[in-house]
Amino acid sequence: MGTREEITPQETTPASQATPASRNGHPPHPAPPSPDPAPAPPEGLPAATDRAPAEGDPPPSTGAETGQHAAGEGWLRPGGDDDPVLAVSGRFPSAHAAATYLGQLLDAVTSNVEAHRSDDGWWVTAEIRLSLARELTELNGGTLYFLAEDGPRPDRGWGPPPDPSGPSGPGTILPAPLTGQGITDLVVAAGLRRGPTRAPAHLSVLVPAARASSLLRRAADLGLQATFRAVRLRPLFAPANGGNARGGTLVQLRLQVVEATGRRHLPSGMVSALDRDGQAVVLREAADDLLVQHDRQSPLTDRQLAALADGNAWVLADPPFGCWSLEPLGEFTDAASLMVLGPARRLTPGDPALVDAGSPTALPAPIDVRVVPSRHRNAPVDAVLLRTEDLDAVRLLLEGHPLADEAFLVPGRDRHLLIAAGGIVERIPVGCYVTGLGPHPVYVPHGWRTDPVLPPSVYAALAAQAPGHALVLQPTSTLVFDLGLRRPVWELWAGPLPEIDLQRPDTIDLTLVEVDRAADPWGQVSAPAPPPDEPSSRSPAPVRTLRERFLGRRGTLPGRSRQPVTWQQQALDAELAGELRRAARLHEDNGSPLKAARLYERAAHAGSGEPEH
Amino acid sequence: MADRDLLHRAATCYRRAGHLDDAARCYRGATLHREAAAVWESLGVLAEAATDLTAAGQPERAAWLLAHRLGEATRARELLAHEPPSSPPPSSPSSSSGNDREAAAATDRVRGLLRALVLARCDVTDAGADAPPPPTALAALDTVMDELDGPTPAGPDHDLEDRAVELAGAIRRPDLAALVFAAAVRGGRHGAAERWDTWSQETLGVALVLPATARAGDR
Repeated sequence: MGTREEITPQETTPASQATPASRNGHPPHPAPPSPDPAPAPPEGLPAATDRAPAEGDPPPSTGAETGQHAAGEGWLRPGGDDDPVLAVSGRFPSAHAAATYLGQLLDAVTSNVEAHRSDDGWWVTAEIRLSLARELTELNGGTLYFLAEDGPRPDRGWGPPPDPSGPSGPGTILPAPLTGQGITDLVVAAGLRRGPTRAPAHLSVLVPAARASSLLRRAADLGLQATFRAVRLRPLFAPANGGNARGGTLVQLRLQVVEATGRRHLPSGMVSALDRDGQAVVLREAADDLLVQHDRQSPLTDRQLAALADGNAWVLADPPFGCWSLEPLGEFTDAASLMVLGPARRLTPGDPALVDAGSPTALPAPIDVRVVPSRHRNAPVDAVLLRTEDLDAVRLLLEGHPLADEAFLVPGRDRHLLIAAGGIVERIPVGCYVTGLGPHPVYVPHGWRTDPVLPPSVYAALAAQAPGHALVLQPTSTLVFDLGLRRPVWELWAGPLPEIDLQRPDTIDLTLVEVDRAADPWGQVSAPAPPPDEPSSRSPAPVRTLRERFLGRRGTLPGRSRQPVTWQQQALDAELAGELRRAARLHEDNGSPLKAARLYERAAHAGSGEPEH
Repeated sequence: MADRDLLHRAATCYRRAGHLDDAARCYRGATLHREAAAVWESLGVLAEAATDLTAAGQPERAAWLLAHRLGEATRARELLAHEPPSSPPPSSPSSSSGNDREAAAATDRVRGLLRALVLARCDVTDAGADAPPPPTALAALDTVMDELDGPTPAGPDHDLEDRAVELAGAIRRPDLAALVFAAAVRGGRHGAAERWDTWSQETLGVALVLPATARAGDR
């Protein structure tokens, strides 16, 4: 079916009256058709002769083909001046077709629409443009009549309307309208038909109160949001003077999915089960005042049906439930109020003995953390705790030992800590072995542990209380060592390095002074260089000269940095900073698998969340 | 919960450093029980190896270690009684095919035979070194020979021949060990003839001479 503008007289002509020649020889609208290919009207139909040709009408046919064209007859332009609004009636063999036609009419015409019933079908009357009436009637398989004063006259299906003074059609007597305008009677007769089943996100269910609780439990099991209210139902479409108009009450449950659960539709299994439940009827909320059985639909749209419902809401469903007028008896309530999770007890005042009578802000007394003996064996040696009198033995043991190259001594008052990158590992026969407890330098002596056992995060928090320090937990005290004071262990016997006497030629000072003067002849950047015989007797210039950069400070070698230069120092700094994984990687890459293994193991148990390097 | 990846790295570094007990401890912490069991077994710590084999879902191997290497028949029986037969990882129904089901059935059959060998070995231990071989041992060896004589299953059965030969050695029946090897050669087990030859030289002191047709059948 084309758009309304494409409608031609041939297309609106009933199929029984249209000839193949008339359908094939006509150019499309809007160009007015030429009179030559215009088809002749079917024989036997009265010709309308009372209408004068309007401006823009196509010229009358010459009648060369049939000789039956009268002056003034031409083509009907939809919506044009020659497309009058007439009182017409469509006759349909079934109520469903008539209701479908009625629904289409209600979208175009809002008044003077009536439905009638005769022995051979249904009539729907309205005042509507002729072209639209022809199109909708043919679309729904009906027959169109003009309503003249003496009765309905059949439409010939094309061209202008027939002469109202002409003879009426045989046996066409319009019956009287039904109740009111008869529209509701037509909707009732058309009934509901099965429509496409869609997975709904929400539904309403009408059930007796005794059945509601089990359904609410099932909805809760499925994670659905359920609300309910009581409603009063009265029979709808019942005879005014018959039937049980008092009705009764039911419970309306509204089930809908919860978006947070990720479910988009109600479970189809539950909907199918409710369909089979003889005590429940599943309804879709077609409009605010309209509930329709969820898999049924009327020929009228939901909006048109809702417009018919005046006052109370309508409930439309197939037998045996039938149709009802619904009156809410309250607001929707969350179904959780009906859920009983356990036996109820009488409310009693609180027992004062159960509450803390002390300070309202008092927290439970913490459990004292103690260092207790442990049966754990073969703990690794991460550091060694030394007494002052042990230092002489350390010198004897480590002089010439590979550990002397990488161990550091953190001095204390009467205890000292011997540490090394990756741990001491070697079980040197001196001091007290200690084991690291976490990613940070917190140690406990061998044979001891904390009670209760604490997670690594506790030790991390403890280390954060004293950053840059190492802690050794002992049964009676906690020793704290300042890691910034650590010295290479070989200083125990080697002492400080001898003074450096830089042996540079005498001429190099004169040369560098000349270079500086050439680069800054006016002395704007730096003060004049001192004479060669007074190398460092004045205060340093704000900008270092080439000579100073080359020669460096007195007593130090040029180019020496204070940053760690060996991988062992880098590994120790990383270890003391808690970056055990990076320290382990340094050891692994530099052929120290045992220390790398110990650091990996500490990192694994510490769970420091250190990023992968 | 320790980081498994870091513990795995630690175990690898411990192995490189020669600290195998620490490596096994880290493997166990990383729930790499098969690797831990291999390290324990290389160290001769068989009880720990049995513990890790059990945790790795190989109770038959663990029970054999207990029964054959440690002589703890009671613990081996208890282990088999409490541990269900190990099973291969389940495959999704959509991917299961006829070959998969056949392989699963063969694996179950082999594991049943391994259990029978373990229980027979326990009976041998209980009977004592001087007692005649218990009937369960002879029956188990007979069943294993039938299995090895058949076509090579899709699942692994390399433990079966080793266990049967060890059981035959435990009951001082080298003839049965030779029959086990012969069944493996007839069944086309890979390298069975070479293993038979090695066993013959070590046990009997003579080199094995097999017909060319028998070696040709060795796949």
